[in-house]
Amino acid sequence: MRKMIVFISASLLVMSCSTAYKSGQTPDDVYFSPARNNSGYVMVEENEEYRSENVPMGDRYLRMKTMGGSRWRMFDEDYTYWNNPHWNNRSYFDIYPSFGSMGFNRPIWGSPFFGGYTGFYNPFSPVYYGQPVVVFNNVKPTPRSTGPRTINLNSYTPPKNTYTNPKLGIGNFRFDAPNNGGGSTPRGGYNPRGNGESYGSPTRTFSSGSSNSGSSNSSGSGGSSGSAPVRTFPKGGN
Amino acid sequence: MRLISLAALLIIAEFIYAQEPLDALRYSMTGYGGTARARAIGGAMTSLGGDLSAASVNPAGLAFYRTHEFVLTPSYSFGSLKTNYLNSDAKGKSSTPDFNNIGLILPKGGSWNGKWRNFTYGVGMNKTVNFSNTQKLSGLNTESSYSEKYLEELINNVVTDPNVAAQNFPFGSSLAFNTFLVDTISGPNGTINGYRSLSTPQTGVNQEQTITTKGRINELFVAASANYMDKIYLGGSLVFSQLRFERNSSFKESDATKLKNNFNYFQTDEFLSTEGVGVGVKLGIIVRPVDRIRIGLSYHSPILYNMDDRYNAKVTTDLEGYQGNGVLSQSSTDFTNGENGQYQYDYVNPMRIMAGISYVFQEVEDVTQQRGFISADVEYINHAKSKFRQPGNSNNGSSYLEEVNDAIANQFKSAINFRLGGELKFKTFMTRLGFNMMSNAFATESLKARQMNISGGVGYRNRGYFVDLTYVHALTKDASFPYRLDNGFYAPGMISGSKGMLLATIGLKF
Repeated sequence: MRKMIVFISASLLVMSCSTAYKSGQTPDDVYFSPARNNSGYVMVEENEEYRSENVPMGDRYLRMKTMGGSRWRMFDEDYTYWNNPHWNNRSYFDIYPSFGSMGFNRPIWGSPFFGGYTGFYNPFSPVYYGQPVVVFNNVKPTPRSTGPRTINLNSYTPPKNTYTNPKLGIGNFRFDAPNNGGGSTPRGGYNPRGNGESYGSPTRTFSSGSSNSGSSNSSGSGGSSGSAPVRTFPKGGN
Repeated sequence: MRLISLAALLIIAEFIYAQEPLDALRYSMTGYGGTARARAIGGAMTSLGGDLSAASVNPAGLAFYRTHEFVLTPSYSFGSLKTNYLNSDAKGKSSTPDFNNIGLILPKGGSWNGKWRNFTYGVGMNKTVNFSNTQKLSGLNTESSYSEKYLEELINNVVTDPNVAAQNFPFGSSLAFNTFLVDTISGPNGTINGYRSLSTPQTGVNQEQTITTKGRINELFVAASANYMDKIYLGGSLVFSQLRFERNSSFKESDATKLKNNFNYFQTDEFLSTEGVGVGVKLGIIVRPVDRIRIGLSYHSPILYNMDDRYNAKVTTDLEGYQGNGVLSQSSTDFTNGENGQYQYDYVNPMRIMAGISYVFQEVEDVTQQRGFISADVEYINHAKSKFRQPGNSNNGSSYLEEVNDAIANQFKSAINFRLGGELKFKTFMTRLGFNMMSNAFATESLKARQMNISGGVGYRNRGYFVDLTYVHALTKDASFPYRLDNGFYAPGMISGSKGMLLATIGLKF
């Protein structure tokens, strides 16, 4: 819900922004669009007969400014305000100075909100408020590395000198294709055992070369529910 | 609960949810996101240009811009994943609102000798993948148990001392061992011959798993492009990828017979959170040998991510009073003073090369004369080239990551992806159709990981604004393994996904 509110608010914000193409069609750069210093743009049918009085004042102003440069500056209601040297410090405010001479850095684009068509209004700028303010977020404690998450990768990697059949799978594992009729024997998986080889219970034993040092007699276990303790065994067997 | 020092865990840390090859595929099998218009034409933007999405596909396409533009694209995704596991089907559903794309395009007029018609700069974000999903599987297994992976972990590590089994595998076998799901097999004189699981697959166990994922990869870009005589367009972008992935998984195995046999059920719950930041570059060129025809070529460098994993695991068992116990549970956080496990590493996703061709019916300024276009792309990516690496000079886990890389090379292959789309334009109104195919990434033919998108949309542009609406229907095939065994039967969940996405791009020309 919060995301939706953000989306709707952002959409309304975009739609409320001023555009230089109010009176014509939206240019389409996928096909071809005019260079930006053109004074106007192709009208839709309802505007095919161009009449200057149909053009909104904002567009007319922009066009005059575009074509005439500083000739029309006396019509700026707030000419003196915007020509205050405070706003003309481009090293701070103008990231796109080439449009300055084309008139795009004046009233519409030159509002304080747009930073004079220059960068964005920066509340931390030393020009306005003195020294920058740096706020550190609270940092989460970082636990020590416990290493990569590991699995037994033998099932991914075919044993050496073992033929890998792209249809059957990797190594010497047999891929049993899924059966359609169900049945008691699961299919649709990899099986290292051959057909008809029986399956007992889930156990794994050490190879004969391994030394078995521990005792199988557990202590401190049994008789409870809940959180399990770590099991302990006497060292070295019986 | 007795706490064991974290230092002991550094010796061996074995996991239920491990760093595995499928992690790499998740981060390499991604699209490009973008505006509703680009998504509607299947993302075929390698040669077309003039849309913000080009920054992520072929930055040279930004050089077609001569007007300033701001766009944003909210979206809403919904869908379901059907998983066939051991001949049984289960379905998971998900839906999420999202933010697909935002960006600003700033063209600048021609310069130098007048042959460079314009330079265009862009900054923004495209979401290349959304990980939000719910996947469920269930089936009757009579040939193996999930718990056998714990047995193999202990045997492969030659854990002959049961105290080691109880302590040194806090994200895997130790949890199963301390909750008695796994117990010792006694040898002569009280020594240990091996380990056994109390699960009863020999008489049948019901297995079920639910995986809920969320997260995304956002690709932030800063792009620059240039237009030479309206014939050659060059572009490049610096890409910062921001990755976030979170997964909660629950696997339950229960006795199918309901007999009194020291096994009722066990359940594992696992959590993984991955965050990463990556950097890469994209370079491209588009040429117009003749009017109406555009040919594009683009190269995407591998993106080097620095990743950070946080994880934990928990095992709960009901063994019908075995050893006098009731329902027992143990969490990895019992071993780690309540902290998640943590690991930092690098991940490098594979480079991509793509080529495209477009035909634009009327390349004219007059919008009333613009009629439409068709565009097609072909893309090469080798998923087997994904790599995990240990950052810096640390050797912590580097040999294991090398093994993962070998497994990635064995498990995956290169893929050729296709994109095709077109638009018909009627002055202010547009209609679009598109198709997009990401080919199978698995080297083994019995497994499928591919995605096909079919898309359509409409658009309206007038008076300096534009609105595009798109529906993308994604059909996915994938495979996921609840567990794998070294010496026992294991099966993939064969996933068939059907996912819809609604996108709306709102744009402003200025």
